[in-house]
Amino acid sequence: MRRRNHRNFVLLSAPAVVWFTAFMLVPLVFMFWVSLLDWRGIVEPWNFAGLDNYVRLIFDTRFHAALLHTTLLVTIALPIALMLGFMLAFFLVQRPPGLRMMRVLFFAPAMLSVAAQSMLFVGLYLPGGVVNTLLRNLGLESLTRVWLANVTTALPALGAIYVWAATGWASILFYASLSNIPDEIFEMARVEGAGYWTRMWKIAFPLNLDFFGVIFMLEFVFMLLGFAQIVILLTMGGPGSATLTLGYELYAQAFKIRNLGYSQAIGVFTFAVGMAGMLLIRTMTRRDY
Amino acid sequence: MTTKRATATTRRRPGMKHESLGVNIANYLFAAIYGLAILIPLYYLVVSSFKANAGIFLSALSLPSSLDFSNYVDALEKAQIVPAMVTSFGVVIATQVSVLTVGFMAAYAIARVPARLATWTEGFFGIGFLIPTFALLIPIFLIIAKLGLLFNPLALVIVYVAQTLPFTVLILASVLRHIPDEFEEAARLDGASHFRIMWNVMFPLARSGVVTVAVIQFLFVWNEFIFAIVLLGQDVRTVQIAIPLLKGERLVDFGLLSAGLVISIIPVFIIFAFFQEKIVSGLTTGGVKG
Repeated sequence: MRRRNHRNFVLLSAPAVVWFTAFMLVPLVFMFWVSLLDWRGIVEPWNFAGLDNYVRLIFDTRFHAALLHTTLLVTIALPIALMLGFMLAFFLVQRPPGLRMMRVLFFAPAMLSVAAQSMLFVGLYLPGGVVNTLLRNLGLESLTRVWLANVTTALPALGAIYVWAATGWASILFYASLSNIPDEIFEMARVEGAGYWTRMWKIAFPLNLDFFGVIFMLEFVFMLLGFAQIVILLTMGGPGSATLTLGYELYAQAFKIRNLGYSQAIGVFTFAVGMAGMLLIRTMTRRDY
Repeated sequence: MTTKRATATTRRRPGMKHESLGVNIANYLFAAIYGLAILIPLYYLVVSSFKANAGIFLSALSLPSSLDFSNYVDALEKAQIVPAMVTSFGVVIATQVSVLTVGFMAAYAIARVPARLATWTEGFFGIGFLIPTFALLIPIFLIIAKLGLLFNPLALVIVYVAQTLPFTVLILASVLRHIPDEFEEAARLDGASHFRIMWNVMFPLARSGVVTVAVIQFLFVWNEFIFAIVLLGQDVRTVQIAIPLLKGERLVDFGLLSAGLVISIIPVFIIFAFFQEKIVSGLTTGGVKG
Protein backbone atom coordinates (compact mmCIF):
# COMPACT_ATOMS: atom_id res chain seq x y z
CA MET A 1 0.00 0.00 0.00
CA ARG A 2 2.72 2.43 0.96
CA ARG A 3 4.68 1.70 -2.14
CA ARG A 4 1.59 2.15 -4.31
CA ASN A 5 0.94 5.49 -2.64
CA HIS A 6 4.48 6.50 -3.35
CA ARG A 7 4.16 5.54 -7.01
CA ASN A 8 0.86 7.41 -7.36
CA PHE A 9 2.34 10.45 -5.72
CA VAL A 10 5.25 10.56 -8.14
CA LEU A 11 3.08 9.97 -11.20
CA LEU A 12 0.65 12.72 -10.21
CA SER A 13 3.13 15.37 -9.19
CA ALA A 14 5.84 14.70 -11.81
CA PRO A 15 4.35 16.78 -14.66
CA ALA A 16 4.06 19.88 -12.46
CA VAL A 17 7.47 19.41 -10.89
CA VAL A 18 9.16 18.91 -14.26
CA TRP A 19 7.36 21.85 -15.89
CA PHE A 20 8.17 24.17 -13.02
CA THR A 21 11.79 23.02 -12.93
CA ALA A 22 12.33 23.37 -16.67
CA PHE A 23 10.95 26.88 -17.00
CA MET A 24 11.60 28.44 -13.60
CA LEU A 25 14.58 26.75 -11.96
CA VAL A 26 16.64 25.98 -15.06
CA PRO A 27 16.40 29.60 -16.28
CA LEU A 28 17.43 30.74 -12.81
CA VAL A 29 20.60 28.63 -12.94
CA PHE A 30 21.14 29.64 -16.57
CA MET A 31 21.11 33.32 -15.52
CA PHE A 32 24.11 32.71 -13.24
CA TRP A 33 25.98 30.91 -16.02
CA VAL A 34 25.33 33.58 -18.69
CA SER A 35 26.50 36.29 -16.27
CA LEU A 36 29.97 34.70 -16.44
CA LEU A 37 30.17 34.92 -20.22
CA ASP A 38 31.39 37.49 -22.66
CA TRP A 39 28.39 37.15 -24.96
CA ARG A 40 26.93 39.98 -27.01
CA GLY A 41 23.90 38.57 -28.80
CA ILE A 42 22.10 35.30 -29.31
CA VAL A 43 23.63 34.55 -32.71
CA GLU A 44 27.17 35.52 -31.68
CA PRO A 45 29.88 33.30 -30.19
CA TRP A 46 30.53 33.41 -26.47
CA ASN A 47 33.65 33.19 -24.33
CA PHE A 48 34.03 32.46 -20.68
CA ALA A 49 34.85 35.74 -18.95
CA GLY A 50 34.89 34.85 -15.28
CA LEU A 51 33.82 37.74 -13.11
CA ASP A 52 34.57 40.44 -15.71
CA ASN A 53 30.90 41.40 -16.01
CA TYR A 54 30.68 41.90 -12.26
CA VAL A 55 33.82 44.04 -12.18
CA ARG A 56 32.25 46.17 -14.89
CA LEU A 57 29.27 46.90 -12.63
CA ILE A 58 31.58 48.83 -10.32
CA PHE A 59 32.62 51.33 -12.99
CA ASP A 60 29.48 51.59 -15.13
CA THR A 61 27.84 55.01 -14.64
CA ARG A 62 24.61 53.85 -16.31
CA PHE A 63 24.38 51.09 -13.74
CA HIS A 64 25.02 53.58 -10.93
CA ALA A 65 22.20 55.77 -12.20
CA ALA A 66 19.90 52.72 -12.39
CA LEU A 67 20.81 51.70 -8.85
CA LEU A 68 20.17 55.21 -7.54
CA HIS A 69 16.77 55.48 -9.27
CA THR A 70 15.63 52.08 -8.08
CA THR A 71 16.74 52.96 -4.56
CA LEU A 72 14.71 56.17 -4.72
CA LEU A 73 11.63 54.31 -5.96
CA VAL A 74 11.97 51.64 -3.27
CA THR A 75 12.51 54.13 -0.44
CA ILE A 76 9.96 56.78 -1.52
CA ALA A 77 7.22 55.55 -3.88
CA LEU A 78 6.87 52.11 -2.29
CA PRO A 79 6.42 53.24 1.36
CA ILE A 80 4.05 56.02 0.26
CA ALA A 81 1.81 53.52 -1.54
CA LEU A 82 1.82 51.01 1.32
CA MET A 83 1.26 53.61 4.07
CA LEU A 84 -1.57 55.34 2.18
CA GLY A 85 -2.99 51.92 1.38
CA PHE A 86 -2.94 50.92 5.01
CA MET A 87 -4.58 54.17 6.11
CA LEU A 88 -7.35 53.69 3.55
CA ALA A 89 -7.76 50.09 4.69
CA PHE A 90 -8.18 51.14 8.31
CA PHE A 91 -10.78 53.66 7.20
CA LEU A 92 -12.64 50.97 5.19
CA VAL A 93 -12.60 48.51 8.07
CA GLN A 94 -14.70 50.99 10.11
CA ARG A 95 -17.39 50.15 7.54
CA PRO A 96 -18.15 53.73 6.53
CA PRO A 97 -21.15 54.49 4.30
CA GLY A 98 -20.08 54.00 0.68
CA LEU A 99 -17.86 51.05 1.58
CA ARG A 100 -19.06 48.86 -1.30
CA MET A 101 -18.43 51.54 -3.89
CA MET A 102 -15.02 52.44 -2.49
CA ARG A 103 -13.91 48.81 -2.49
CA VAL A 104 -14.70 48.47 -6.18
CA LEU A 105 -13.22 51.84 -7.08
CA PHE A 106 -9.96 51.51 -5.14
CA PHE A 107 -9.27 48.07 -6.59
CA ALA A 108 -9.96 49.10 -10.18
CA PRO A 109 -6.55 50.61 -11.10
CA ALA A 110 -4.74 47.39 -10.18
CA MET A 111 -7.02 45.46 -12.52
CA LEU A 112 -5.55 47.38 -15.45
CA SER A 113 -2.44 45.85 -16.96
CA VAL A 114 0.88 47.66 -16.63
CA ALA A 115 0.58 48.47 -20.33
CA ALA A 116 -2.91 49.93 -19.86
CA GLN A 117 -1.84 51.96 -16.81
CA SER A 118 1.14 53.31 -18.71
CA MET A 119 -0.87 54.20 -21.81
CA LEU A 120 -3.50 55.91 -19.68
CA PHE A 121 -0.79 58.06 -18.13
CA VAL A 122 0.59 58.90 -21.57
CA GLY A 123 -2.66 60.80 -22.00
CA LEU A 124 -2.65 62.30 -18.50
CA TYR A 125 0.91 63.61 -18.91
CA LEU A 126 0.46 65.06 -22.42
CA PRO A 127 1.18 68.81 -22.77
CA GLY A 128 -2.60 69.34 -23.09
CA GLY A 129 -3.49 66.39 -20.87
CA VAL A 130 -5.38 66.22 -17.60
CA VAL A 131 -2.50 66.98 -15.23
CA ASN A 132 -1.56 70.20 -17.01
CA THR A 133 -5.20 71.15 -17.56
CA LEU A 134 -5.95 70.81 -13.85
CA LEU A 135 -2.87 72.85 -12.94
CA ARG A 136 -3.91 75.58 -15.37
CA ASN A 137 -7.44 75.67 -13.97
CA LEU A 138 -5.99 76.03 -10.47
CA GLY A 139 -3.97 79.02 -11.68
CA LEU A 140 -0.70 77.12 -11.47
CA GLU A 141 0.31 77.68 -15.09
CA SER A 142 3.97 77.91 -14.07
CA LEU A 143 3.95 74.30 -12.84
CA THR A 144 2.80 72.81 -16.13
CA ARG A 145 5.39 70.84 -18.08
CA VAL A 146 5.89 67.87 -20.34
CA TRP A 147 6.23 65.52 -17.40
CA LEU A 148 7.85 62.53 -19.06
CA ALA A 149 10.30 64.54 -21.18
CA ASN A 150 11.69 66.61 -18.30
CA VAL A 151 14.83 65.34 -16.58
CA THR A 152 13.71 66.26 -13.07
CA THR A 153 10.05 65.19 -13.33
CA ALA A 154 10.32 62.02 -15.44
CA LEU A 155 11.21 59.62 -12.61
CA PRO A 156 8.65 61.00 -10.12
CA ALA A 157 6.06 60.90 -12.92
CA LEU A 158 6.72 57.19 -13.41
CA GLY A 159 6.72 56.60 -9.65
CA ALA A 160 3.33 58.31 -9.45
CA ILE A 161 1.84 55.71 -11.80
CA TYR A 162 2.95 53.02 -9.38
CA VAL A 163 1.58 54.87 -6.35
CA TRP A 164 -1.70 55.49 -8.18
CA ALA A 165 -2.30 51.78 -8.73
CA ALA A 166 -0.58 50.23 -5.71
CA THR A 167 -2.29 52.38 -3.05
CA GLY A 168 -5.76 51.06 -3.85
CA TRP A 169 -4.50 47.53 -4.39
CA ALA A 170 -2.80 47.53 -0.99
CA SER A 171 -5.84 49.11 0.67
CA ILE A 172 -8.17 46.33 -0.47
CA LEU A 173 -5.78 43.52 0.48
CA PHE A 174 -5.08 45.12 3.88
CA TYR A 175 -8.82 45.66 4.32
CA ALA A 176 -9.37 41.93 3.77
CA SER A 177 -6.79 40.97 6.37
CA LEU A 178 -7.81 43.68 8.88
CA SER A 179 -11.39 42.37 8.68
CA ASN A 180 -10.20 39.24 10.47
CA ILE A 181 -9.26 41.20 13.60
CA PRO A 182 -12.16 41.06 16.06
CA ASP A 183 -13.95 44.40 16.51
CA GLU A 184 -13.81 43.98 20.29
CA ILE A 185 -10.10 44.72 20.34
CA PHE A 186 -10.59 48.16 18.79
CA GLU A 187 -13.73 48.72 20.83
CA MET A 188 -11.85 48.08 24.06
CA ALA A 189 -9.00 50.35 23.03
CA ARG A 190 -11.49 53.08 22.14
CA VAL A 191 -13.24 52.80 25.48
CA GLU A 192 -9.89 53.08 27.21
CA GLY A 193 -9.27 56.32 25.38
CA ALA A 194 -7.09 55.34 22.43
CA GLY A 195 -7.66 57.80 19.59
CA TYR A 196 -8.19 56.90 15.94
CA TRP A 197 -4.54 57.44 15.02
CA THR A 198 -3.32 55.35 17.98
CA ARG A 199 -5.69 52.51 17.16
CA MET A 200 -4.52 52.56 13.54
CA TRP A 201 -0.77 52.55 14.12
CA LYS A 202 -0.39 51.08 17.63
CA ILE A 203 -3.01 48.31 17.42
CA ALA A 204 -4.13 47.52 13.88
CA PHE A 205 -0.71 47.89 12.28
CA PRO A 206 1.19 45.56 14.65
CA LEU A 207 -1.64 43.00 14.50
CA ASN A 208 -1.46 43.08 10.71
CA LEU A 209 2.32 43.16 10.53
CA ASP A 210 2.80 39.63 9.16
CA PHE A 211 0.51 40.26 6.22
CA PHE A 212 1.95 43.73 5.71
CA GLY A 213 5.35 42.06 5.39
CA VAL A 214 4.11 39.68 2.70
CA ILE A 215 2.70 42.52 0.59
CA PHE A 216 5.82 44.58 1.25
CA MET A 217 7.97 41.74 -0.12
CA LEU A 218 5.83 41.36 -3.25
CA GLU A 219 5.85 45.09 -3.94
CA PHE A 220 9.56 45.36 -3.23
CA VAL A 221 10.35 42.73 -5.84
CA PHE A 222 7.98 44.40 -8.30
CA MET A 223 9.78 47.70 -7.76
CA LEU A 224 13.18 46.10 -8.36
CA LEU A 225 12.25 44.42 -11.62
CA GLY A 226 8.65 44.53 -12.79
CA PHE A 227 8.55 48.32 -12.64
CA ALA A 228 10.86 48.28 -15.67
CA GLN A 229 7.81 47.59 -17.83
CA ILE A 230 6.54 51.10 -17.16
CA VAL A 231 9.97 52.45 -18.15
CA ILE A 232 10.03 50.35 -21.32
CA LEU A 233 6.56 51.53 -22.30
CA LEU A 234 7.04 55.22 -21.56
CA THR A 235 10.57 56.59 -21.38
CA MET A 236 13.14 53.91 -22.35
CA GLY A 237 15.36 55.16 -19.54
CA GLY A 238 15.35 58.75 -20.83
CA PRO A 239 15.48 61.67 -21.06
CA GLY A 240 19.23 61.15 -20.81
CA SER A 241 19.61 58.60 -18.04
CA ALA A 242 16.85 60.09 -15.87
CA THR A 243 14.67 56.97 -15.66
CA LEU A 244 17.16 54.12 -15.87
CA THR A 245 16.25 51.44 -13.32
CA LEU A 246 17.83 48.07 -12.50
CA GLY A 247 15.11 46.09 -14.25
CA TYR A 248 15.25 48.36 -17.28
CA GLU A 249 19.05 48.08 -17.49
CA LEU A 250 18.70 44.30 -17.39
CA TYR A 251 16.35 44.51 -20.38
CA ALA A 252 18.23 47.21 -22.26
CA GLN A 253 21.67 45.63 -21.97
CA ALA A 254 20.25 42.42 -23.44
CA PHE A 255 18.03 43.74 -26.21
CA LYS A 256 19.09 47.33 -26.99
CA ILE A 257 22.80 47.48 -26.22
CA ARG A 258 23.26 43.80 -27.04
CA ASN A 259 25.36 42.66 -24.16
CA LEU A 260 23.73 39.47 -22.92
CA GLY A 261 26.46 38.47 -20.48
CA TYR A 262 26.57 41.85 -18.80
CA SER A 263 22.78 42.10 -18.60
CA GLN A 264 22.73 38.85 -16.64
CA ALA A 265 25.34 40.16 -14.19
CA ILE A 266 22.84 42.95 -13.52
CA GLY A 267 20.19 40.24 -13.24
CA VAL A 268 22.17 38.27 -10.65
CA PHE A 269 22.93 41.45 -8.71
CA THR A 270 19.26 42.46 -8.67
CA PHE A 271 18.16 38.94 -7.80
CA ALA A 272 20.58 38.90 -4.86
CA VAL A 273 19.34 42.30 -3.68
CA GLY A 274 15.79 40.96 -3.99
CA MET A 275 16.51 37.89 -1.89
CA ALA A 276 18.40 39.88 0.76
CA GLY A 277 15.63 42.50 0.85
CA MET A 278 12.92 39.89 1.22
CA LEU A 279 14.82 38.22 4.03
CA LEU A 280 15.26 41.57 5.76
CA ILE A 281 11.57 42.45 5.39
CA ARG A 282 10.59 39.03 6.68
CA THR A 283 12.77 39.39 9.79
CA MET A 284 11.50 42.91 10.42
CA THR A 285 7.83 42.00 10.08
CA ARG A 286 7.74 38.55 11.62
CA ARG A 287 5.97 38.60 14.93
CA ASP A 288 7.50 36.60 17.73
CA TYR A 289 4.80 34.64 19.44
CA MET B 1 -13.76 30.36 4.78
CA THR B 2 -16.65 29.68 7.15
CA THR B 3 -15.19 31.75 9.96
CA LYS B 4 -14.84 34.70 7.64
CA ARG B 5 -18.51 34.50 6.66
CA ALA B 6 -19.57 34.23 10.31
CA THR B 7 -17.66 37.33 11.35
CA ALA B 8 -18.96 39.22 8.34
CA THR B 9 -22.56 38.68 9.44
CA THR B 10 -22.08 39.31 13.15
CA ARG B 11 -20.40 42.66 12.60
CA ARG B 12 -22.87 44.25 10.20
CA ARG B 13 -23.44 47.38 12.27
CA PRO B 14 -22.13 50.43 10.46
CA GLY B 15 -19.10 52.09 11.98
CA MET B 16 -17.66 55.59 11.95
CA LYS B 17 -20.28 57.17 14.19
CA HIS B 18 -17.99 57.00 17.22
CA GLU B 19 -15.21 58.95 15.61
CA SER B 20 -14.71 62.66 16.08
CA LEU B 21 -15.78 65.07 13.37
CA GLY B 22 -12.17 65.88 12.53
CA VAL B 23 -11.29 62.23 11.96
CA ASN B 24 -14.35 61.72 9.78
CA ILE B 25 -13.65 64.80 7.68
CA ALA B 26 -9.99 63.85 7.20
CA ASN B 27 -10.89 60.30 6.24
CA TYR B 28 -13.57 61.23 3.74
CA LEU B 29 -11.36 63.92 2.26
CA PHE B 30 -8.55 61.40 1.83
CA ALA B 31 -10.87 58.81 0.28
CA ALA B 32 -12.46 61.44 -1.97
CA ILE B 33 -9.12 62.68 -3.27
CA TYR B 34 -7.98 59.17 -4.09
CA GLY B 35 -11.39 58.35 -5.55
CA LEU B 36 -11.18 61.36 -7.85
CA ALA B 37 -7.61 60.44 -8.79
CA ILE B 38 -9.07 57.19 -10.11
CA LEU B 39 -12.33 58.49 -11.56
CA ILE B 40 -10.95 61.49 -13.47
CA PRO B 41 -8.41 59.44 -15.48
CA LEU B 42 -11.05 56.80 -16.26
CA TYR B 43 -13.54 59.51 -17.29
CA TYR B 44 -10.82 61.15 -19.41
CA LEU B 45 -10.10 57.79 -21.04
CA VAL B 46 -13.71 57.26 -22.04
CA VAL B 47 -14.44 60.79 -23.30
CA SER B 48 -11.15 60.90 -25.22
CA SER B 49 -12.06 57.73 -27.07
CA PHE B 50 -14.91 59.66 -28.72
CA LYS B 51 -12.85 62.72 -29.64
CA ALA B 52 -10.37 63.61 -32.35
CA ASN B 53 -6.88 64.45 -31.12
CA ALA B 54 -7.35 68.20 -31.68
CA GLY B 55 -10.43 68.16 -29.46
CA ILE B 56 -8.57 66.40 -26.64
CA PHE B 57 -5.79 68.97 -26.62
CA LEU B 58 -8.25 71.87 -26.79
CA SER B 59 -10.24 70.83 -23.73
CA ALA B 60 -9.16 67.61 -22.13
CA LEU B 61 -12.07 67.11 -19.74
CA SER B 62 -15.06 68.32 -21.74
CA LEU B 63 -17.70 65.88 -22.91
CA PRO B 64 -17.39 64.88 -26.57
CA SER B 65 -19.61 66.93 -28.92
CA SER B 66 -20.99 63.78 -30.51
CA LEU B 67 -20.78 60.02 -30.13
CA ASP B 68 -18.10 59.55 -32.76
CA PHE B 69 -17.01 55.92 -33.03
CA SER B 70 -14.32 56.53 -35.64
CA ASN B 71 -11.53 56.00 -33.08
CA TYR B 72 -12.95 52.57 -32.31
CA VAL B 73 -13.16 51.70 -36.00
CA ASP B 74 -9.59 52.90 -36.52
CA ALA B 75 -8.32 51.03 -33.46
CA LEU B 76 -9.90 47.81 -34.65
CA GLU B 77 -8.33 48.23 -38.09
CA LYS B 78 -4.93 49.71 -37.31
CA ALA B 79 -3.98 47.72 -34.26
CA GLN B 80 -5.61 44.52 -35.44
CA ILE B 81 -7.31 44.34 -32.07
CA VAL B 82 -9.65 41.52 -33.02
CA PRO B 83 -6.87 39.06 -34.00
CA ALA B 84 -4.92 40.21 -30.94
CA MET B 85 -7.91 39.45 -28.71
CA VAL B 86 -8.27 36.04 -30.33
CA THR B 87 -4.58 35.34 -29.64
CA SER B 88 -4.93 36.54 -26.04
CA PHE B 89 -8.03 34.42 -25.42
CA GLY B 90 -6.30 31.43 -27.02
CA VAL B 91 -3.30 31.82 -24.73
CA VAL B 92 -5.59 32.29 -21.71
CA ILE B 93 -7.59 29.14 -22.44
CA ALA B 94 -4.57 26.98 -23.25
CA THR B 95 -2.82 28.18 -20.08
CA GLN B 96 -5.89 27.60 -17.94
CA VAL B 97 -6.50 24.07 -19.19
CA SER B 98 -2.82 23.09 -18.84
CA VAL B 99 -2.21 24.64 -15.45
CA LEU B 100 -5.44 23.34 -13.95
CA THR B 101 -4.81 19.82 -15.22
CA VAL B 102 -1.17 19.60 -14.23
CA GLY B 103 -1.61 21.71 -11.10
CA PHE B 104 -4.67 19.85 -9.86
CA MET B 105 -2.93 16.49 -10.15
CA ALA B 106 0.03 17.76 -8.15
CA ALA B 107 -2.24 19.40 -5.58
CA TYR B 108 -4.24 16.18 -5.25
CA ALA B 109 -1.04 14.22 -4.68
CA ILE B 110 0.17 16.67 -2.05
CA ALA B 111 -3.14 16.91 -0.18
CA ARG B 112 -4.65 13.44 -0.50
CA VAL B 113 -1.99 10.83 -1.22
CA PRO B 114 -0.16 9.84 1.95
CA ALA B 115 3.48 9.94 0.89
CA ARG B 116 6.63 11.13 2.54
CA LEU B 117 7.48 13.44 -0.32
CA ALA B 118 4.30 15.51 0.10
CA THR B 119 5.65 18.17 2.48
CA TRP B 120 8.84 18.39 0.49
CA THR B 121 6.95 18.89 -2.77
CA GLU B 122 4.76 21.59 -1.28
CA GLY B 123 7.83 23.43 -0.08
CA PHE B 124 9.35 23.03 -3.52
CA PHE B 125 6.46 24.93 -5.11
CA GLY B 126 6.72 27.45 -2.30
CA ILE B 127 10.08 28.46 -3.78
CA GLY B 128 8.14 29.73 -6.77
CA PHE B 129 6.82 32.65 -4.74
CA LEU B 130 10.37 33.80 -4.12
CA ILE B 131 11.55 33.87 -7.72
CA PRO B 132 10.87 37.20 -9.44
CA THR B 133 9.79 36.15 -12.94
CA PHE B 134 11.14 39.29 -14.59
CA ALA B 135 14.67 38.20 -13.55
CA LEU B 136 14.23 35.12 -15.75
CA LEU B 137 13.25 37.12 -18.82
CA ILE B 138 16.49 36.73 -20.76
CA PRO B 139 17.29 33.11 -19.78
CA ILE B 140 13.75 32.15 -20.78
CA PHE B 141 14.10 34.07 -24.04
CA LEU B 142 17.29 32.12 -24.78
CA ILE B 143 15.71 28.77 -23.90
CA ILE B 144 12.60 29.47 -25.96
CA ALA B 145 14.80 30.52 -28.89
CA LYS B 146 16.76 27.29 -28.55
CA LEU B 147 13.50 25.32 -28.64
CA GLY B 148 12.55 27.14 -31.85
CA LEU B 149 9.39 28.56 -30.25
CA LEU B 150 10.15 32.26 -30.59
CA PHE B 151 7.25 34.24 -32.14
CA ASN B 152 4.95 31.31 -31.33
CA PRO B 153 2.10 31.88 -28.81
CA LEU B 154 2.74 28.34 -27.55
CA ALA B 155 5.90 29.71 -25.90
CA LEU B 156 3.74 32.03 -23.80
CA VAL B 157 1.54 29.16 -22.68
CA ILE B 158 4.58 27.16 -21.60
CA VAL B 159 6.05 30.08 -19.66
CA TYR B 160 2.79 31.26 -18.06
CA VAL B 161 1.97 27.74 -16.87
CA ALA B 162 5.38 27.46 -15.19
CA GLN B 163 4.96 30.89 -13.60
CA THR B 164 1.47 30.22 -12.24
CA LEU B 165 1.97 26.60 -11.13
CA PRO B 166 3.17 27.43 -7.58
CA PHE B 167 0.10 29.55 -6.89
CA THR B 168 -2.23 26.99 -8.48
CA VAL B 169 -0.77 24.00 -6.66
CA LEU B 170 -0.70 25.64 -3.22
CA ILE B 171 -4.22 27.09 -3.43
CA LEU B 172 -5.73 23.85 -4.74
CA ALA B 173 -3.82 21.74 -2.20
CA SER B 174 -5.18 23.82 0.68
CA VAL B 175 -8.74 23.51 -0.68
CA LEU B 176 -8.40 19.76 -1.25
CA ARG B 177 -7.05 19.25 2.25
CA HIS B 178 -10.29 20.57 3.74
CA ILE B 179 -12.57 18.15 1.89
CA PRO B 180 -13.79 15.44 4.32
CA ASP B 181 -12.50 11.92 3.70
CA GLU B 182 -16.02 10.48 3.51
CA PHE B 183 -16.51 11.54 -0.10
CA GLU B 184 -13.42 9.70 -1.22
CA GLU B 185 -14.21 6.61 0.85
CA ALA B 186 -17.77 6.41 -0.43
CA ALA B 187 -16.55 6.63 -4.01
CA ARG B 188 -13.93 3.97 -3.36
CA LEU B 189 -16.52 1.63 -1.86
CA ASP B 190 -18.55 2.11 -5.03
CA GLY B 191 -15.51 0.80 -6.89
CA ALA B 192 -14.34 4.05 -8.50
CA SER B 193 -10.72 4.13 -9.65
CA HIS B 194 -8.16 6.63 -8.37
CA PHE B 195 -8.44 8.52 -11.61
CA ARG B 196 -12.26 8.68 -11.44
CA ILE B 197 -12.13 9.80 -7.80
CA MET B 198 -9.71 12.57 -8.61
CA TRP B 199 -11.56 14.05 -11.58
CA ASN B 200 -15.21 13.11 -10.98
CA VAL B 201 -15.38 13.46 -7.20
CA MET B 202 -12.62 15.73 -5.94
CA PHE B 203 -12.38 18.18 -8.82
CA PRO B 204 -16.06 19.27 -8.52
CA LEU B 205 -15.71 19.43 -4.73
CA ALA B 206 -12.70 21.74 -5.07
CA ARG B 207 -14.65 24.04 -7.37
CA SER B 208 -14.27 27.16 -5.20
CA GLY B 209 -10.49 26.86 -5.40
CA VAL B 210 -10.62 26.07 -9.10
CA VAL B 211 -12.68 29.20 -9.81
CA THR B 212 -10.34 31.36 -7.71
CA VAL B 213 -7.32 30.05 -9.55
CA ALA B 214 -9.01 30.42 -12.95
CA VAL B 215 -10.04 34.03 -12.31
CA ILE B 216 -6.64 35.19 -11.07
CA GLN B 217 -5.01 33.21 -13.85
CA PHE B 218 -7.16 35.00 -16.41
CA LEU B 219 -6.20 38.42 -15.12
CA PHE B 220 -2.52 37.51 -15.01
CA VAL B 221 -2.35 36.05 -18.51
CA TRP B 222 -4.58 38.67 -20.14
CA ASN B 223 -2.60 41.51 -18.59
CA GLU B 224 0.91 40.11 -18.96
CA PHE B 225 3.11 42.37 -21.07
CA ILE B 226 6.85 41.82 -20.86
CA PHE B 227 7.13 38.11 -21.69
CA ALA B 228 4.59 38.56 -24.47
CA ILE B 229 6.56 41.34 -26.16
CA VAL B 230 9.93 39.63 -25.72
CA LEU B 231 8.83 36.16 -26.84
CA LEU B 232 6.38 37.15 -29.58
CA GLY B 233 7.79 40.38 -30.99
CA GLN B 234 5.21 42.46 -32.82
CA ASP B 235 3.99 40.17 -35.60
CA VAL B 236 1.78 37.83 -33.61
CA ARG B 237 0.29 40.13 -30.98
CA THR B 238 -1.53 39.72 -27.74
CA VAL B 239 -3.79 42.57 -26.66
CA GLN B 240 -1.12 44.04 -24.38
CA ILE B 241 1.30 44.27 -27.32
CA ALA B 242 -1.28 45.70 -29.70
CA ILE B 243 -2.47 48.57 -27.49
CA PRO B 244 0.85 50.41 -26.95
CA LEU B 245 1.42 50.26 -30.72
CA LEU B 246 -1.53 52.65 -31.10
CA LYS B 247 0.45 55.35 -29.32
CA GLY B 248 2.38 56.28 -32.47
CA GLU B 249 6.04 57.13 -32.59
CA ARG B 250 6.19 60.93 -32.45
CA LEU B 251 2.77 62.46 -32.15
CA VAL B 252 0.56 60.71 -29.63
CA ASP B 253 -2.94 60.06 -31.00
CA PHE B 254 -4.65 59.73 -27.63
CA GLY B 255 -8.14 59.44 -29.14
CA LEU B 256 -7.14 56.31 -30.99
CA LEU B 257 -5.11 54.98 -28.08
CA SER B 258 -7.93 55.43 -25.58
CA ALA B 259 -10.40 53.65 -27.85
CA GLY B 260 -8.04 50.66 -28.03
CA LEU B 261 -7.54 50.80 -24.26
CA VAL B 262 -11.26 50.78 -23.56
CA ILE B 263 -11.71 47.71 -25.75
CA SER B 264 -8.83 45.89 -24.05
CA ILE B 265 -10.12 46.66 -20.57
CA ILE B 266 -13.70 45.43 -21.09
CA PRO B 267 -13.01 41.69 -20.51
CA VAL B 268 -11.02 42.50 -17.38
CA PHE B 269 -13.80 44.63 -15.93
CA ILE B 270 -16.40 41.98 -16.65
CA ILE B 271 -14.35 39.43 -14.70
CA PHE B 272 -13.71 42.02 -11.99
CA ALA B 273 -17.40 42.88 -11.66
CA PHE B 274 -18.38 39.25 -11.09
CA PHE B 275 -15.45 37.98 -9.06
CA GLN B 276 -13.99 40.76 -6.92
CA GLU B 277 -14.46 38.73 -3.71
CA LYS B 278 -12.79 35.69 -5.27
CA ILE B 279 -9.88 37.78 -6.50
CA VAL B 280 -9.25 39.37 -3.11
CA SER B 281 -9.62 36.15 -1.12
CA GLY B 282 -7.42 34.27 -3.58
CA LEU B 283 -4.75 36.94 -3.43
CA THR B 284 -4.76 37.18 0.34
CA THR B 285 -4.57 33.41 0.93
CA GLY B 286 -2.12 33.00 -1.94
CA GLY B 287 -0.03 35.85 -0.62
CA VAL B 288 -0.01 34.57 2.93
CA LYS B 289 1.17 31.20 1.69
CA GLY B 290 4.36 32.76 0.36
